[in-house]
Amino acid sequence: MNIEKNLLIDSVDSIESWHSIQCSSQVPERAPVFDGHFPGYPILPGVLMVELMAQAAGFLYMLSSDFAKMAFLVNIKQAKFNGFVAPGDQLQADVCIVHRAESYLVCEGTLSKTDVVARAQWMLRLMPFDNDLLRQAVQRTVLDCLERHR
Amino acid sequence: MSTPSLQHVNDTVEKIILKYCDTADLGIDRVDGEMSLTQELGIDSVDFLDIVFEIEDAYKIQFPLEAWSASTPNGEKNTHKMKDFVAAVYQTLHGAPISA
Repeated sequence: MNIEKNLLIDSVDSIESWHSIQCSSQVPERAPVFDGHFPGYPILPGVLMVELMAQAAGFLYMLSSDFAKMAFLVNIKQAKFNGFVAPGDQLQADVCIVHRAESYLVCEGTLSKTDVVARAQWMLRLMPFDNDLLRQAVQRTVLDCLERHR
Repeated sequence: MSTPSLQHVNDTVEKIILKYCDTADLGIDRVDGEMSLTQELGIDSVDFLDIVFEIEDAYKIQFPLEAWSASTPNGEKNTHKMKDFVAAVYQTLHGAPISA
């Protein structure tokens, strides 16, 4: 997990195109966010837990569609946080597409340590890549994460 | 199962849209066909995705959102009226426009 670059996924562990994905991520021991959240009691902000799951859904779309469009998080329909995530924790995101349309996806998923620490449902808007630089960067990032597991 | 009537489609779409409007603020409990979805009902693009999702889920259809959004009257953005949207949903369901 690279919080500074907002790349929250380390590896893609399994994928079923257009259906589901499983990703792993290790929370770093140190990151600037822990200085404030919270002093003396560092825990991963809930918004980053949702962001991690949303990124996994974005990866699922990108790999299923061969990077046809860019996926943007536009709506967190619901989110629930059942546990704290601390520096050094190993996380697993299990995400699936529950509704697929031409220009958006509705996804849901869980984030787990040994038990589920967060669950959410959200919507991704699918839009054409603004430029080639973006498309290539996204493709490289996603394929690196896929390769990391193999 | 028979394909839903225009009235059924209108009622379903209206019921869904009303959930996303500030009806108290607007002082309405019905959606008139002439009302603009964005300008009068205050539906933003994210609400609209939710509305389309609920309609697709209700009727098990794929609404051609991109094509429909691009065909806004006078080339303006998001000026569709309620009746246009209902007609588009109906056409998606029936595979043909509303017959006169």
